[in-house]
Amino acid sequence: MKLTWLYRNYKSDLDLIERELEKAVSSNSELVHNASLQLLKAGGKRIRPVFVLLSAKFGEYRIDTVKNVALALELIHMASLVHDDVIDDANMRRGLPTINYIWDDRVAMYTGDFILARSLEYMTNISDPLAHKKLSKAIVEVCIGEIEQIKDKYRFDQTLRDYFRRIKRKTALLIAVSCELGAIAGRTDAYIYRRLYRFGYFIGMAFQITDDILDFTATEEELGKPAGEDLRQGNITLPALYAMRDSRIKAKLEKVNLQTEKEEMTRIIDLIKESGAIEQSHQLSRRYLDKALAILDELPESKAKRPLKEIANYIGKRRY
Amino acid sequence: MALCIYEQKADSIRRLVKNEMYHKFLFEHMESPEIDEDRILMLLMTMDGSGIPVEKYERQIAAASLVQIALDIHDKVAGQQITLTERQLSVLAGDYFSGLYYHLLAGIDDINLIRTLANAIKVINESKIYVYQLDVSDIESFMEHVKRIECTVIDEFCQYFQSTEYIGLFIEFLYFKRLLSEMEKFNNGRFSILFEGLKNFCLPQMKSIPLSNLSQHDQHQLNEICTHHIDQSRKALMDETSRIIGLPGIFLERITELANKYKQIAT
Repeated sequence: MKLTWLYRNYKSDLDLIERELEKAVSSNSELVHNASLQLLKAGGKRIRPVFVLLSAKFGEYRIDTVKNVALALELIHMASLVHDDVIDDANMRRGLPTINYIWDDRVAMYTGDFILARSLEYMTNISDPLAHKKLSKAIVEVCIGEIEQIKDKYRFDQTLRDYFRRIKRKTALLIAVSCELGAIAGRTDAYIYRRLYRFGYFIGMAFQITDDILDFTATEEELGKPAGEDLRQGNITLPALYAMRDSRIKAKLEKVNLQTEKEEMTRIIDLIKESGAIEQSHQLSRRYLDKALAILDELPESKAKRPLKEIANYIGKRRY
Repeated sequence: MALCIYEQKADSIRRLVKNEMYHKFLFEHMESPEIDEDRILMLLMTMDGSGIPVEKYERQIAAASLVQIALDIHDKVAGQQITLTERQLSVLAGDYFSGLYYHLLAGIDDINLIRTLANAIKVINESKIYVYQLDVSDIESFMEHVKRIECTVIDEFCQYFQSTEYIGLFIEFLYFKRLLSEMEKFNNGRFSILFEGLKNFCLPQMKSIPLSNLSQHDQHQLNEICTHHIDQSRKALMDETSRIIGLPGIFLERITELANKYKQIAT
């Protein structure tokens, strides 16, 4: 299952966003421009702009207005990727070398800051103060989430609640806000934008849980990194938390660190798979998706409903 | 009396910035970010007589301060003397403080100032790349970018409030202060991006040699060149100071302190 239908039907607007993204990263500095283009070239699903555009369809859809929100959200996401690569000392992203790898950390930091500034410039083309209150709050929360992620590394006694709060901030919030701001830019009433926020939140939670499952179930080739790498880096995700309910597995997981050998990681991944934790995680992801789909039923009829449903189903069936 | 009022106002803003920035884990694991008192004073002087309510201008000044702190903290990411966790948290702290500037201004519906400061961030980061990569044709452009990095937040802030009386003075003050700081770093054997630039343009044959490995003669030569720029900057600062009538005493004191620091470094 792919999102080709969606991308075909919204091609002209998505092409416009793509062109505008290229314009957005143009800079007086050739190096800033090239570094940003490097990231743009690596592609991506542009899932946040898609949510913005589709949500705006529930109101007055004016691409000239709504594109500013779509661009701002995608640029915020891009800036965070550039800085995340510095944090993780990553060499590759989506099959291409990272900015910090080609140039260095300093260039990556400045480029990320430049891109974030561009995102805010686009956003200020939206005059509704409510949109800024919502987005700025989300950005602050996302940053707190990233700090908490560092704090929670190798903390094997964390609870499910800690995990949910972390992935809410890490992933679900920006998707929720993409839906909400798209609707606000389309001037829908509060009933609609609040529901779209919830829709995005549930989708985002399901998306991150699926990502966390794939870290154990997908191959190195599919992931672009070794399986179990999140765990080795100290990120305790849902499958690991479920598996650790078995004290014997917990004892093994607690020994994982950056020096853990590949063979040992393979044994640990097998233990997690055999514990039923993957299936339990899938079930929870499915529950979030069902909640998202139920919200769509509460929304008025719109052409956007079908593609939003397709995205929810796509996330449910995503294999890598 | 005026001095007392400025100090009180500055103190209130400093507390606001500190409260906004505070995050337990962050502050336990990294060096507390420095709040530049001089910049707060300049931003306050910009707002003098603007008629803007206290609660509003305090947030506007705090937001501009957070922008500067966020920009400065990201310069530390590539430093060699910090641990991995400090490095990671420096990245996140800078992003967090940027988010707070946006949040503060969104809270008072000041969308235009959000845009103005975003533009400043954009310009500064472009200049940082030019300086860091030595991607300029001559020493004058190099120094111009150094100046821009120091002054753009204050410059844009003053322009935004159409408070242009002090702009020239603020720019010269910040530039002079930066030059002194770079000279101090170099003299203490620490890395100085400014001296890297001076080496590149004035001793091109020494490009690949670390500053600390240069001969005494070459180091002295770079010192002389920097001193020349500092002298020029100091003169420009004094000219601006004498041009303005009724400059707040507290700021005059700061200029005097800086000039004294220069004497210490020069001797």
